[in-house]
Amino acid sequence: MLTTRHVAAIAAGIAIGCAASGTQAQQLTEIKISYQPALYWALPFYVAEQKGWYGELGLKPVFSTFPAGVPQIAASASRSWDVGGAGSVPATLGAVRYDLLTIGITNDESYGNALLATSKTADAFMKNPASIKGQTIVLTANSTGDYAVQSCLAKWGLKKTDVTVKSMGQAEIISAMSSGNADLGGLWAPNTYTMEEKTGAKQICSGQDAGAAVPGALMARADYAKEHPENVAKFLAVYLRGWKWANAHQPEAIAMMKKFYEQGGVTISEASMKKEFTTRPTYDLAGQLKIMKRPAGGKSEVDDWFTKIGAFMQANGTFPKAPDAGKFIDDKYMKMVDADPKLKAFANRTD
Amino acid sequence: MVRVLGRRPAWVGAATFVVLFGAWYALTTLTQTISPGRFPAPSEVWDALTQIVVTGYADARLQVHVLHSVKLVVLGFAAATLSGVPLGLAMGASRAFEAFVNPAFLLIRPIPPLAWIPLAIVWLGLGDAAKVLIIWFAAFVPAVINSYSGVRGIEPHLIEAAKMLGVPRGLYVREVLIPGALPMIFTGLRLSLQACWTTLVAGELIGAIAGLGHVLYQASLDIFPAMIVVGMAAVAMTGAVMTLALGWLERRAMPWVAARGGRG
Repeated sequence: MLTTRHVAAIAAGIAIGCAASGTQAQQLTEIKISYQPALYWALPFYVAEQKGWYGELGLKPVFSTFPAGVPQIAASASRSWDVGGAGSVPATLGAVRYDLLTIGITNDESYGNALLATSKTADAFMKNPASIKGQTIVLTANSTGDYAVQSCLAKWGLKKTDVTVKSMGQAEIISAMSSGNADLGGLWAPNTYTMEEKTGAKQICSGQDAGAAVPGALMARADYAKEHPENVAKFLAVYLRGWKWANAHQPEAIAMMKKFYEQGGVTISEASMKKEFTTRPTYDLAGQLKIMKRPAGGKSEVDDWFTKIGAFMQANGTFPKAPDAGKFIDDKYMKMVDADPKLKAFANRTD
Repeated sequence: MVRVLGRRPAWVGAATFVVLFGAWYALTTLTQTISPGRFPAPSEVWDALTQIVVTGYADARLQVHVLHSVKLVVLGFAAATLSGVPLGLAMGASRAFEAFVNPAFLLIRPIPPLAWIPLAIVWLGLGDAAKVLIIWFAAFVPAVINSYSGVRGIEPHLIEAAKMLGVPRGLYVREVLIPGALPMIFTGLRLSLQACWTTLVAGELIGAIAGLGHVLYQASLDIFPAMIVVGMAAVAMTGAVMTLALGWLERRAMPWVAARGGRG
């Protein structure tokens, strides 16, 4: 039976709870984060959200997801998001069109962007790559997949004009190759695994094989980064912790990855998920600072990667002049993480 | 007075373009009220036009893209005309045939042309045939409906007079049915031609290597507003030229209508 004392105690408890949650809500700063679902490099966003790490640094993430990099970049013009991740080609496009900054690297996806051939043709093409001359390749034009495929062609001494390139979305490429309407396709992971597992297609050349570095980019809107540099640094710290944790707890990370991929409509085997970890290097804070470090008057490793990507996009006619990587790649926010003992410790935590 | 009135629309039309261009220049260049990221300035559109004409864009020059799109539209339109008009005429002329065909036609009619894309790829591959199929479907429906309505709209006393005079079947079709339905047939063909152009962009999503739809698709991937405007203008102008050509054909096919001053 409830006494007056009980009622008073419950009311006080509720009041204290409401006040505490209200205070916490007031302390959290909203940050709009964009990404593409069911992609390896987006896993840390999911892990951090599930584990409540954003709140630990006073951030309240508001996620927006996009089916591809181009609509994601276009949405930045209306300030639909503040920070996020995308492929290096969309990131370069965003730098030119909407002043987006590249503030870090999500992963090295050179292996995950590749040219695949159907099961019946793969062996012949691998044995004699010159026989690809005159063939039709279906790919998503002006994407990291396109960049990897063109690098593979160059490795075999072939030019883009030696083949017929037909541009379409990743889903249509899978459909075209599965139905026997195309033998060669440019895909990126996890679509590469889907093709391999469901149709027996084989990866005959990746960006890595062709010596082309295909990084993924962490981005921030320049105006947002200028107004809220501390939030950008916190965002990076959370992302870096995501990889630290995922690499230290791979079985648990793969279980979360499975859920994350399924939410995005992608089902691949556990073996393929493990392959994502083994073939796509990620960078911790020290690694990020190292690849972004510019020697006096020189270019960083990341500058070199994006300079080549800019040249590829210029050759495709996307813009008349390749952008200067030094103007949109900014390691300032990584350095802020490094300079703040609390953030640095947070970014390097594996728990 | 009549001549002045007759000239007025041309002047008004030209003035519309001048005002629109002036507003465009003022908003994007003089005052920069609209940023280049949202809508390109005239100078940017000029640069994009120069790029696609001189060096090319989306793997070809503008003239190649235009010719490729015109080829697809002409093939799709011709296929729709050759299949849709006779079908519509037959449905209009014969109640029994209409009863036989109409259920299937009613079933197919509401399906959006874009819904055929996956099947078109499976049936016809990634070549032009699949694109022509999509365009054909978009143009086919208005061709059938208007041809059918044209026959049904023929004044009954003309049909009765032909029957009373014992006009042979072939002559009846040539001299009564087709001329009587012709105004509606051409209305349908105008709609079909418009449908061809609106579906072209979707059709050229099927692994195109050239074409104005391909240019628009590539420009959207590149977030290249100036090139999108160039592509849109090219579609508008090429579509307008083909509509004028159809109008010319219509006047040749129906001199009696032109003589009455109708359907300019």
